[in-house]
Amino acid sequence: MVSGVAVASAAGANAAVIRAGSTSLLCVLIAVPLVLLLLLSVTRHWSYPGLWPDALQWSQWRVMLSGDRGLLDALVSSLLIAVIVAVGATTAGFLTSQRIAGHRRRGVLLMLALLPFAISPVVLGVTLNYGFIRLQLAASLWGVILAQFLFAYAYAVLLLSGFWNTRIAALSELAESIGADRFQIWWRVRLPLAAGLLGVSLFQTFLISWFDFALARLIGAGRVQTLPLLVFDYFGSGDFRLAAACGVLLVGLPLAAVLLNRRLLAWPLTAASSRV
Amino acid sequence: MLTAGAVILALAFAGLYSVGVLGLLSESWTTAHWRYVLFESGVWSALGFSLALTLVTLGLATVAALATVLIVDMRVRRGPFAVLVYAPLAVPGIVAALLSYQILGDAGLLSRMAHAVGWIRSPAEFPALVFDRLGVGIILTHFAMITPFFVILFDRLFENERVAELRQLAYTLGATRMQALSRVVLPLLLVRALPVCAVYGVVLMGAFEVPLLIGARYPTMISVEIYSRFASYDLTARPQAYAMATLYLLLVLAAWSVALRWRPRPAQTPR
Amino acid sequence: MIEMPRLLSAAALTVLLLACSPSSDDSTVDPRSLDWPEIVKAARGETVYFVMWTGDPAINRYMREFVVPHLHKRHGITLEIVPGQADIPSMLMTEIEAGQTVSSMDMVWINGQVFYQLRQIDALYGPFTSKLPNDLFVDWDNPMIAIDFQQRVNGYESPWGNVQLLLITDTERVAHLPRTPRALAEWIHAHPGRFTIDSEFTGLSFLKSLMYAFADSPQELQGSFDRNVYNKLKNRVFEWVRGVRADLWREGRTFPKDVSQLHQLFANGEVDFTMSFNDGEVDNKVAVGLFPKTARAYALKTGTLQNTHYLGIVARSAHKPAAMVVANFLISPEAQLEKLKPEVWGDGTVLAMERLPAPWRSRFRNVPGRSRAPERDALQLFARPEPAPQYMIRLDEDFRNEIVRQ
Repeated sequence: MVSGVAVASAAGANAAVIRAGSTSLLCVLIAVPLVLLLLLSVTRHWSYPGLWPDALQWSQWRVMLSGDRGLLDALVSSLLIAVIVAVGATTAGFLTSQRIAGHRRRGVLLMLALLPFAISPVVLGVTLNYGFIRLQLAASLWGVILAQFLFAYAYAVLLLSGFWNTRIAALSELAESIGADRFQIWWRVRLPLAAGLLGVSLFQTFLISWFDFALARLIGAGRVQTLPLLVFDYFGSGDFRLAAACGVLLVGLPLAAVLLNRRLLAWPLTAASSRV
Repeated sequence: MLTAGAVILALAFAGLYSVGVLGLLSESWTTAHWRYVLFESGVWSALGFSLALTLVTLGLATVAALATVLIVDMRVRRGPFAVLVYAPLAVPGIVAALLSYQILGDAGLLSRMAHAVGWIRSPAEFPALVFDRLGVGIILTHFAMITPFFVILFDRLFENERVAELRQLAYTLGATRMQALSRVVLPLLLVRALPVCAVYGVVLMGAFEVPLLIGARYPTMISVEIYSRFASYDLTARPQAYAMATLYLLLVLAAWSVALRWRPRPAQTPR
Repeated sequence: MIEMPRLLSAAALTVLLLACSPSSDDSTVDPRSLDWPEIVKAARGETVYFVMWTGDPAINRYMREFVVPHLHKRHGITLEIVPGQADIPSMLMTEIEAGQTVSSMDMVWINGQVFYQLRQIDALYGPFTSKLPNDLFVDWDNPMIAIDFQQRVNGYESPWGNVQLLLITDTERVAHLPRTPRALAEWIHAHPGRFTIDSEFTGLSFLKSLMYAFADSPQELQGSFDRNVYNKLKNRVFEWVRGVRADLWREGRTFPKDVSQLHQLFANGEVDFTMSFNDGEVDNKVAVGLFPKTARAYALKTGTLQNTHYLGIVARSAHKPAAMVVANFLISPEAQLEKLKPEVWGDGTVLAMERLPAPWRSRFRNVPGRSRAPERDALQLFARPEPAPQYMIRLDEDFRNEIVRQ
């Protein structure tokens, strides 16, 4: 009996060691690439087979922040576009998902609304290209915004459709029965309840735009410069250090936000678990 | 009003395809492009390749995430890992591809580590993990990008579905560890995670940045195939790109309709 | 459904929007009707979008640190560089199809068979070169300049630079330079895994050079495209490739995507050869420390391709006067001299020495020579003109289908 307990606790101790060990390993695996990115952005020279750069320098960052070569412009463009897309897509997505939720032909409508998201951004960009040019939207900031909006809007619909459940409907009916008009129902009932989810949607649609490469390239046609496009250009010209610097900026913003509030990326999890 | 908006989108696409297919420049209505695309262009191998990579990546990610959650168990909530696991979600495809090149490449970090322990003597001896025919680099990159998300997902489901308690219940009813695992834990987690998996599957099928940067010239994933034809200097390739894009869209629609039939009817939400 | 009327009106609106052409925003006067001083005046304050290949940091630096500031200071023109190369015809074609009257591009760097494509869709403005004052200095007598891929330029593009395809190797690792396809094949067999070509423009150009080597006579590849000649030579070249394939880098199962990647392999020491269409590249890359100091460039005895790259003005550009001023500057002796310097770019000049005023002539002669590549005159013997563009287009497709995919 005593030995049984001893065995059990020994097994428990082993499990704890395995747990601790694998957790540490995973932490290292995640941290290394990020550290590498940072390191590359300040490298001067790093020859094979060194495991650490031969020489470091701040040149890449000086170039980035000096406003030379339009790097700051790309940053500003990216931010501007992403904010507009986020706000637009979330708003439209919120309204649309409500309409769809109450509809009889919900399935079909949902499918149509999600279409831009289901086809890859490349296919979206290729098919929209011609139309956008005729509408004078190609090679312009607004063209890229609109194209990304279409994609993000579809995603927002998907994300926000999980909000419209029986509870919300019941509360809305309750509000209506005590005399609230449509505006008040939205403003005082639905919006406050959805605040958290809307925040998540804003963040994620922001990310969709912030990270977008295909649409910015296809629709922007070289006139619109964003951070992901810069990373690609620098990668193509073999200048990995500058590519890494752009990458740090690209990753830094969302990383900071997520580490501060992990719930920003929480959506699909709550949706999945609320399908009870 | 806004639902009509969604329908306009579908119509806009339709309008655009027909233009694309109708022949560009000064050509007349022709089926030559479609015939080429369907029979000679290798679009099916690109689609097959994309599908294969997607399934492999999803499979690997699911297994790895489940293993992580089950082994690391409740630790996920506290400690540095709980925070770090969110980090890869902030990394986009472009940057992930850049990092993969720097880590998995011939002269990358792994290669240098192998060199340091004496396994290889020069970059050429390092196995080709990027720009290779099997898409290993692509798989690994996508795997690294989505597994953390699955870990979080399974962990949340674990919590919300009270899997630990159900597992305990199974034990008291006499189940072995294996049985508890295969009949209680896994089904619960996997079934609940299926919709999210499907969404990620769709995203992976259309992956672009990663195969563009670190994929081989052949075989390529479908998005890269379409793009390279669209932007090619050989202008006769453009209609082919349009045809391929249309084909992809039709396939997605078809797959979606099928999935729609299969889905268990969700509870009716009232007005 | 109740939504029907809304649906229909939405559809109608969309179709209407798509069908109507954008308004004609044509404020462009044809600059050819003006004299040069008027053109310069019209150009002031304008922005020119120049689409060029940005894959070489040295070239980018030349543009950024020499060309752009000069244009701004002297003519008040803002030159914006837009990355692009092979996708230029595609981009322009989209614009034309969509009925766009004003292009988003003003000037393009024409490299390779792009000229052919652009003329096919009538996307270039011209003839304009005779309007440029510096055109007097251009060596139009040289057939390599006046003819682009077997097509007469006819003033539709202005020559910018002249290059020849060379093999680059590290003399420390390679004792005797293989100068013929056979010698190269022997070297490859003796050193498995140390040679490869890229699957893009440069690699394909190397294969075209081999076509010259296997041709019954160099004249075969002149003139317009001949399907029989193509098939015959293609088969011979592919036979050579298949013969060495097993001993190529990575056993020939995969090829580097483009020449930048090939340069990386060479710089890392993974392969012992690379190749470049910029005969000045080796000096350039050694100077920045990318290539080893013992790197040398050379041409195959059987000949390698020489070609000229050009500047074109987009037919639907809204800034044609400014574009012409930019083109004029780029072919000025000053800009050409700077470009010729090995540490800057090393790109050959398209100006005829005898047409330049004396002081310029000596300046050009005194440019520090290339130490790691043969001089231009020595290379001329091995220079071969580009065959018709269809050769490249077919070769690209066939290489992909018959070699890469197997």
